[in-house]
Amino acid sequence: MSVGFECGAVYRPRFAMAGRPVPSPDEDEFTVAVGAWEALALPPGAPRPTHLHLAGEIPPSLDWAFLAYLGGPADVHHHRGDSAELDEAIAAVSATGEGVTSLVLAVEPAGTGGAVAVALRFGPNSERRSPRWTPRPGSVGGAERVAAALVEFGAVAATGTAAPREEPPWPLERAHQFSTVPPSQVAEGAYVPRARYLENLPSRWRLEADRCGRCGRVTFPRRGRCRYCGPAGQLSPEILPRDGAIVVAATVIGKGGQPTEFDPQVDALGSYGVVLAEFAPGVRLTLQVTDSAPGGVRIGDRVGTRLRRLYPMEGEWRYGRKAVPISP
Amino acid sequence: MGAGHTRFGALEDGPRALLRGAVDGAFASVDKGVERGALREAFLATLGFGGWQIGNSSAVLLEEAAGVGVPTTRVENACASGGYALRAGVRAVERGDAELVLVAGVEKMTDVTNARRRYWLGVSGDTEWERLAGLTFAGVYGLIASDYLHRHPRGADAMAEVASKNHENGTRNPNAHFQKRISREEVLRAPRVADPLGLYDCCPVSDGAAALLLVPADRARQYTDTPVYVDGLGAGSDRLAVQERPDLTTFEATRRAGAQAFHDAGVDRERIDFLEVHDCFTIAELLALEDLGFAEPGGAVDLTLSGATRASGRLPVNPDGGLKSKGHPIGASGVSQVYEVFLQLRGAAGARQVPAAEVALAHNVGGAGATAAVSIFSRG
Repeated sequence: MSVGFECGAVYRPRFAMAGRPVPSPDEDEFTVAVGAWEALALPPGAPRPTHLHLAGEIPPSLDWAFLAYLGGPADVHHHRGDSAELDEAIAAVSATGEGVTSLVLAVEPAGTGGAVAVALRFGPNSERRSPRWTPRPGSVGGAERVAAALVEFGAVAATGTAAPREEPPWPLERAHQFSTVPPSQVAEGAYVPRARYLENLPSRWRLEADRCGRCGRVTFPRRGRCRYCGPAGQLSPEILPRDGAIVVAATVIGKGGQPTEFDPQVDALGSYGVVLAEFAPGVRLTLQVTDSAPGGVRIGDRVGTRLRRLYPMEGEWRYGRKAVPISP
Repeated sequence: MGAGHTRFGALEDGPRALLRGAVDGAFASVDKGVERGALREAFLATLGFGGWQIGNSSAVLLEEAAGVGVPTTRVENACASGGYALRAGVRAVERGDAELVLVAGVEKMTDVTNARRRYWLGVSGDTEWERLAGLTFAGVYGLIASDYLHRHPRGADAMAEVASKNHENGTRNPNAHFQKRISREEVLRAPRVADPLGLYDCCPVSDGAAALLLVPADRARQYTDTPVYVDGLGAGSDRLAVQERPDLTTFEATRRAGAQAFHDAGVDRERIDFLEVHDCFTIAELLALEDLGFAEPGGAVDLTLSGATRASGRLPVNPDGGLKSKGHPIGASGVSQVYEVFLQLRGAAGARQVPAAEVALAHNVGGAGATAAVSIFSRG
C-alpha cells in the first residue's frame, strides 16, 4: 500500500542542549503541530481539509483548538501509540477514499510538550502530483523518521528542517516550571471572556486581515468594516505575511511590570520583550517576543510570528501569536 | 469659585472620607460662603479602582460629602475622568440646569492586594490585544518611549529631567505623595519597569480626592472677589490600541482637544502662563508639550532641557509636582489639576506660586491617549 501526498513540512524547535532538541516553554502539542501546518505555506484559497488525523500524544482536550485554527468543520481522528501512530494515520487517510482533503499532524516525542512536528497534506490530486510515502508498519520513531524522509524527498518547506544548534536563552529547569503550570491556576488576571478571545481568532491566530476593494487598504485586526471607507468599504480577507514584519517599537517588561496573568511566566522565566511590529504601513500588531533573550529584538529588526501559549485562564491555555527573531 | 483637595498618597481614609475632605474643603474655600443646600447637581470622576462599588458609585460615595437628593453622575474615561467631569459640570452650568454644580474626583488604590492592583492598573488599556501581549500601561508607554527615543536620542535626558523637575516641584506641595528630590542620574539608574522606562519614570499609585464648585460666570462675584473662569474646553478621542495608530509619538486625542480648547478660549499659546499636563510617565509630559503646540515634534527635548518648564522657567509645567510626584489617584487627577489652577490664578499657591499667573491650561489624558480633555482658565 502507498499513498501520495500534496506537500509535507517539518517544524523543529529552535534550540538544543547537548544535541537534543528543546521545545520552548510556551510550546505544546497544539503549537508545534500548528508550526508544521504553517510551514506547509498553503495558499490562502487552498481547500480546507475535512479530516484531521492527529498522531502522537495529542490530548483530545485540544481538539477545539485544532478545529478553531482550521476555521471550519472536520472529522478529528486520534492515532496514539509508541511507534506506529503515524503509519496508522496514513493508512487511515488512504482508507478514506478519493476526493477528500486530509491533514495529518504528527508530534513527537511524547511527554515533552512536543518537540518535532510533521504535517502531511493529502488532496484529491495527490496520486498524480506527489512523492510517495510507503509506510512501514511497526517501524520506530514516527515524526522524526518522517521528517528525515521528507527532507530526503526534497518535498518540504525549508522552515525547520535544519537541526537546532542554538542554546536556549532560558534556564531549563525553570522552563519546566512554566510549561507545567496547571491551567486552573491564576485567579486575578485581566478577564477577557472566552467568547471575546475567540471572536478575534481569525486575526489573532491566523493573521487574517481585510483588504478593501474600494480604497485598496488593509484593516487589521478584522472589524467587519474598512477603517478608511467605513460602511462603504468592500472587504475581502487576506493573510498577513507570517515572516515579514519590522519592529517599530520595543520594550522589555521587568519583574512587577507584567499583568497578573503573566505572573507564572515571569516567576519561571523572568523579563520578556514586547514589540510593535509593522507588516505594512498602517498594519501593526503588538506582540510578545519569544525564543529570544529579553532585549534581543530591537527597533528595525525583522520578526516572524508563531502561535504560542499566552497564559492559562478559565481552565485552559489561551493562545496567540508571538514574535520570534528571524535572520535578515 | 471653590476648590478642595486631600493629601495624595497611601492614606488611611476610604473613598467616602476622602470625598468628604475634598468637598468640605471646596465649600470652606468659598470666600463669601454658600449653603450646601444650594447644590443642584454633582459629577463624580472615578474609575472604581478595585471594583468594590462600581454601579451607582457617584450617589453612594457622595452621600455625606454632597448630601442625598441631588442628581449625581459618575464620569468615567479612565485617567481623563476628571477632565471630562469638569466638562460635564461646565456644560450643566451653561445649559442653566443648575446654578451650583459640584465636580469631584476620587480614587482609593492602595487598599487592594498587589495582584488585584496590577489587574486594575490595566483595565483601561486594550485588553484584547495589548494586554494579551503582556502589556500594562507602563508597557504601552514603554513602547511609545522606545519609538520617541529612537528618533530623539537625547529624549532620555529630557525624561529624567521631567522626573527630577516634578519631584522638585512636589517638595513645595504639602499634598504631594512624594516630598523628595531625585536627581537625573537617579532616574536613569533606577531599575527598569518597561524599558526604556525605569521606576522613577512612572507615577505612583495613590489615594486621594479633589473637588470644585462651579457657578455661572455672571454669578461668581456673589461668592468671591477672586473667581477663576473656565474660558475654553476641548476634548477628543482616538483608537484605544496603539497598534491601530499611525504614529506612537503623538496623541491625536490631545491634539484635537488642545486645538478645540484654544479655539474655544480665543487665546494664543503665548498667553499661557503655566501648564498642568498629564505626566503619568515622564515621556507623556514630552508628548503633551508637543501635542499641545508648545514644541515641534521632538522639540520638547530642548524645551525641557533648557529649564524653561521648571518652576523658575518661562513656562512652568506641573508646578504642583504633576502626577509624577503629587500622585495619580485616577479619578481625582484631572480635578486636582484644576485645583492647582484655582490656587495659582488666585495667587494662593504659597511657596510654589507662579508669579503673575493669569492664564493657565490643564491637560488630562485617559490611558495612553484614547481620551483627552484640555481646559483653559483665566483669573477674574
